[in-house]
Amino acid sequence: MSAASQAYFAGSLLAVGVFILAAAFLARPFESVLGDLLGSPRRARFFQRALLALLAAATLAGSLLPTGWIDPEAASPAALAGNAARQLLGAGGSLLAGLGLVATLLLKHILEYERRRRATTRPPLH
Amino acid sequence: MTALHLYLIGAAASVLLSAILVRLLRGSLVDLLEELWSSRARAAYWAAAGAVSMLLLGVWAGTGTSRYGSEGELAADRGFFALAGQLRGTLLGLFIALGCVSLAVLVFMAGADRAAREAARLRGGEPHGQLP
Repeated sequence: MSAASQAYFAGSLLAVGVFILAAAFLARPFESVLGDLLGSPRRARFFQRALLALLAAATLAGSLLPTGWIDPEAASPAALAGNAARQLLGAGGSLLAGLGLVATLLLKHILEYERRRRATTRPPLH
Repeated sequence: MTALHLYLIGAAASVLLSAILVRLLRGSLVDLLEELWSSRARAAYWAAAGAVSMLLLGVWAGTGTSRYGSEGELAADRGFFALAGQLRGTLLGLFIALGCVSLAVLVFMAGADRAAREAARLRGGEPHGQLP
């Protein structure tokens, strides 16, 4: 394997590391917010796993850049580092886009949940 | 290494990734569907259908197109990047499959919740103070 292939492989491994770090921080909050919104631990567990799997697929796919986006014949350290940086940018960008989408959906559901809660709670009788 | 060997390695990786995803989600999907439909048999059927869809779409996306060209022998680098492309295809396929399955479950959940609210309303015991 050439230096470019090795650096590409290392870049993908780094992206996996980034995802594992993000998942370690996000797994518990995801489960608790989903449990709160969906009202059932079974529902929360499924959607927590599904969201983490979606983010993992997006992050790893974002790091496996096509050859048009990197220099497949890079040999100098600067060019190799440039390739790895582009890969990390792809992985981080995908992860952030996924997180942004999830946050938007969660916010929408939280607002809907609060609206329904206010609508179904009777005002106190005087 | 020939193009065929690399393609087969990529196909095996596609099957493995898809199987890992299905293994990770199937148990919680069955539990969730059982809660929605109160029937283990229905839940098992729909969970199996979802699992097969995810598996097939992941494998199809990873093996549907060959990125290796028609030459027998490949330069090591070209083969490596083509293999990465095959894995990228698998991951995108799994992403789409998982998104579709999650969306379908959300629609089922909304339907089940609506039916439960309607049933509570018809019984006359409207659940004031509780969330619908």
